[in-house]
Amino acid sequence: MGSLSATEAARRRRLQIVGVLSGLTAGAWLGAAEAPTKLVVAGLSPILVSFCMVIGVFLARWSAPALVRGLGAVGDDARRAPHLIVWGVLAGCLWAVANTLTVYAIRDVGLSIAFPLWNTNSVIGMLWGVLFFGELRSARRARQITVVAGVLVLFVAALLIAEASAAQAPRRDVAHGIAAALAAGVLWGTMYIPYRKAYLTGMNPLSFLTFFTIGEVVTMSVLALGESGGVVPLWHALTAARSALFWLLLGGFVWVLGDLAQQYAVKYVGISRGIPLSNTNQLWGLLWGVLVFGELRGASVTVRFMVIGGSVLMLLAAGAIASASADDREHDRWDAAAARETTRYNVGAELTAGRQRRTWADWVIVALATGTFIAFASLARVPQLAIRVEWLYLLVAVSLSLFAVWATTLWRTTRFT
Amino acid sequence: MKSPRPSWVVPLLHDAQFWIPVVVLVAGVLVLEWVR
Repeated sequence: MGSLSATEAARRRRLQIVGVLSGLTAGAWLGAAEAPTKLVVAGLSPILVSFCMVIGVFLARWSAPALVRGLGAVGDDARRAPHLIVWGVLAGCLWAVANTLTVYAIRDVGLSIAFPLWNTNSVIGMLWGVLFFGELRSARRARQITVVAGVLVLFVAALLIAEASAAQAPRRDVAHGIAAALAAGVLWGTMYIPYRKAYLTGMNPLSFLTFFTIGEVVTMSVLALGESGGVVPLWHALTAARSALFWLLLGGFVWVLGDLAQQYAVKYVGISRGIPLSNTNQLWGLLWGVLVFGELRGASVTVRFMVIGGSVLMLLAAGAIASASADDREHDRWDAAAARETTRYNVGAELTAGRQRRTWADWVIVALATGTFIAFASLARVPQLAIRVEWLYLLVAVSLSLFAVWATTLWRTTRFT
Repeated sequence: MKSPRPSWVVPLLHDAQFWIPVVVLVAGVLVLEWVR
């Protein structure tokens, strides 16, 4: 096998940088997405909270592709690789159940505790990455050891934080909260199988998330209808809580932007690196919880030490894993996995045509989504919560800046393909 | 004229990687029922 051409090596380096930046941006935005849900203090069950977030997700997921590429390009992708529609819907179902579980986890053990627990999804995702997609298999020994050590540290950190939770909440809630958070981690970790399948086949993340949203909305509608006892009781519950709905739509919207960055991270650096990087959302969740909402205010020094120490450990582990970048031999494994996918499903190696065309229908979708948000914003009320506004502004400014840098770099390097 | 079965259906059903997310999804719904 000949050595890589200089052009190909430079291209892989650029994509590696884009992938890492995508993961870090995803961390900031996925962490911020949980913040608006903290404003919903009463009146809605966790399933309805999740249902409303999914409506926000739905609005964002259809309007973002319409705005960036035009939905015609999404249709082209679907025609070339129709099986990915099924994978997208399945991933959406996994996301919806996991997201609902996280709302229960937050209710039972709080944001600062629940976050690190469901972030074990990176371990699950890595497992699937190694088993199915050739990630890490041919990597040099030092990189493999770095990743395995990182996984072990992640596990220890999760235990540390789970132990701290026992001092914070009633016994029964702890069991339910931890179970919900860990189950969410397994569901989200497994959700990366469809992600990676799609991107090895060459699908554009904007197309994939359009199908993904169908699984989400259907699953959440079934769960919400089941819990409420029918359409009419569901409608009554939603109208009774209409002043809070905007915050949930906003949470869903912010989450989509984070997830979009996460999808690009998985596409360009794989599950094993992309997900630990995007799981820095734990740090952002902790920052939002502690700085803006004053969580851990009454906690003992020991509990604070365990939560913060566990979080820092997790971050160090994630950083180490991410720094073990893929070498040429591993890239060959990725290519082999991609070749298997395209042969199995008989699709062309290069799926994305990169066409950009928007029609009036795309603008109608964007206008409807924007109008819906404005309508709900006009009904919204800020609940009586002690929020530290100066920290809120700072975190919003940092998140927006990071997003702008990421989107610009992504556009320059890949044209959003 | 009878339209042929889409060529991706059989490969999908024979793809072991497809069934793992399906099983995990069912397990997740069961956990959700328990924590509710």
